[in-house]
Amino acid sequence: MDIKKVNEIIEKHKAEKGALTSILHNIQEQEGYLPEEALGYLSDRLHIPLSEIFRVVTYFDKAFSLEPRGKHIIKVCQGTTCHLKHSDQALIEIKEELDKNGENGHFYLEKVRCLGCCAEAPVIEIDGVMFDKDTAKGTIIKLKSEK
Amino acid sequence: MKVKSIRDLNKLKSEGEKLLRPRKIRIQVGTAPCALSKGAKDVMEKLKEELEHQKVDATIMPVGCIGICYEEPIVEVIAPGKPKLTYGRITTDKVPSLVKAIAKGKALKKNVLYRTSEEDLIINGKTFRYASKTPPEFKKIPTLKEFKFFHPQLRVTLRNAGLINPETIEEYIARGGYAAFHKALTKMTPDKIIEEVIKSGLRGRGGGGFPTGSKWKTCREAKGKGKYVLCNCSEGDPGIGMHKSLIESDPHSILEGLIIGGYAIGAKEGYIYLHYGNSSAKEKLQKSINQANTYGFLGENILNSGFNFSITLKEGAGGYVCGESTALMASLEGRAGEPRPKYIHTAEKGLWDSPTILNNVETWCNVPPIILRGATWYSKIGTKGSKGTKVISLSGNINRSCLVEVPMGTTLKEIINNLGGGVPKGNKLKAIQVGGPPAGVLPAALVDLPIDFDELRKVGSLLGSGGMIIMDDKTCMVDLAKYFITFLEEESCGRCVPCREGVKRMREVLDGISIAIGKEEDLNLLQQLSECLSQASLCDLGKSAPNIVLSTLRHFKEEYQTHIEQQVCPAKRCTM
Repeated sequence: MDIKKVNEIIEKHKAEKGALTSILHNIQEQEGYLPEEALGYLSDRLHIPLSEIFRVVTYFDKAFSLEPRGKHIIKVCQGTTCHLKHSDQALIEIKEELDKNGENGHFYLEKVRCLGCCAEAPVIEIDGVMFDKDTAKGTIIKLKSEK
Repeated sequence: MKVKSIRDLNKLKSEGEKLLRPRKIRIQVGTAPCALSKGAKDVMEKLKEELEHQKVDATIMPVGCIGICYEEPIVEVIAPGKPKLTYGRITTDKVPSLVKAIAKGKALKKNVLYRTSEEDLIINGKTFRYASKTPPEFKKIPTLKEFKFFHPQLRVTLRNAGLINPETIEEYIARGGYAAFHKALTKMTPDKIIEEVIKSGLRGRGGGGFPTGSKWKTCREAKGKGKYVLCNCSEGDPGIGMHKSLIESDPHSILEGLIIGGYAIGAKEGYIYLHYGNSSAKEKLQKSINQANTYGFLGENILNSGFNFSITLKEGAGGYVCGESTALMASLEGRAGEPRPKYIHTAEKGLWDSPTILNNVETWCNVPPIILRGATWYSKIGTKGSKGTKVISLSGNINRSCLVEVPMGTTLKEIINNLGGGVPKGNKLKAIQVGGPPAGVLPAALVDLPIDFDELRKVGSLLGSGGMIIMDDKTCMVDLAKYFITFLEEESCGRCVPCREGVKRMREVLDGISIAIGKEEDLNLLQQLSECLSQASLCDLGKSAPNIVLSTLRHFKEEYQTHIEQQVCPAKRCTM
């Protein structure tokens, strides 16, 4: 990762107390993950031991990732209402759709708790847009053909 | 322009009124999460296209969530001098005929839900009038007051939700916004504000129902440098969409509450803790904070009162456990979000060891109406021990999922039947979860219970945050307990042994029962583990974790026994 970018992010949060999480969020947003060299550099600049930064990163392991995630992020809601409406089945079907013809490296699939859209349960979010199960599958097919 | 007097505020108010009651047609499209999932964005695009095509001069305005989620996408049309018309299920294919009707000054009869000539402004007791006359062709359309969905409701917290553009501060002011802020800072002392909040009987809407006013008093009296007020916008419960809706529909009501709270306890800084990955709420909140800064509602010497206050938006990184006050504060400080023992209350030693007040979105939104209309007015709403209203997000096996607000004391039955339209045909109501995992479940037989902190606690449940989930007879209680315990196992921070190990063991036992290898002694084991967890865990997450197991065991023990003795899942949900 470009150190200049990390510097810009640190600069942006200069006045903020307890800015570590905000900085990590920004790096994750830009790079899609948290590169190790960026964390090392952060440790030097912020005078926070690297072990402590790792502790925060791994504690919040759903928000932060030490490895690149896919280009398209798919979130399958496992909230209570979605569970009642068989979101476990939806998860299996989405996985199957992704695995069809192999090559699902473009996609990052995660289970989340409540996307706040309980009226449409079970819901699936793809790149920030909410879908029901069938339209989600259609969108995946479309995204696969686009790459 | 910095607002310094009531005249300045009134100027913004009339600007807002011009937007809400414009000279040309205004079309409002709901853009809350459930509307977006039903294609509200496409509807807006299509509207724009059709308006151009049919040469109709109108503005399109995104608004928040009006709560009628089952009728999304919802579109409202305000034509000058006419009542506002609210339409349901306006999908893109309906847009051309809707625009045609608008062009002719008529209503699209098939989709119209109700008409509004005037709306009650709960915050100040006045009314907001759209039109004084109703054209004859609109007379057959039911009025807002005749629309049954709103009958059991009283929308105090949701007073502006779905009715204004959340990104325009003037519209918020036009509906009585920031008047309570003005009253508090210019006419009331901090002690008077706290007294008013105590007298109102407001209790924290986040879960525990702790009296808000006395918490504020402790914090005001606590010694410490730089006090803080915090708003918890991090939804942790699986199954509550409402905070997201509230933030996205009416962000200024949160800010107004926070500023009043900050003034009352003597804080200079406020923080809004938002769940990560919620980019549209983040954008709206940040924009609102910027607007409030521009107009001088935040900043130095607010309203010439000598009071300085700023609000910072912080994105959290954690899940369920970060709803716990000390874990939330640790996360705000940039550390791992683990709870600490609470021998000393956060009102005395909280964020960065300073006295801190933490309330959730709904609680903060209740503050402006209490200040403006007074504690006497507020305390008339609700029951003896639970004052005011409660926002409920209703979902599950129900005909109409919706976001509603009812006076405390409304029964579960009224909510399920009158607002939710009952469980789908052919199925029977089996259980209700009122307030997230710590609330456990209630059996259908207790459906006459009221929404009330104390009444629900008496039967071992909790009002919690109000994510109400309805379950029909196809729901397996063992599976449900397993689902929640698996969730809690994932969310346990691992700091204390009872929660880290206990929840895991409970999950293993439940796993066994659900795949037909359960033993008779398992039920005793679950009971023992539950007792251990509720007594020995460090924070409320661990202490309340067994509630789902205990409540299902209490009310549905025979279902567990059938799983164990006959290796059968009566609801056919578990793979035996």
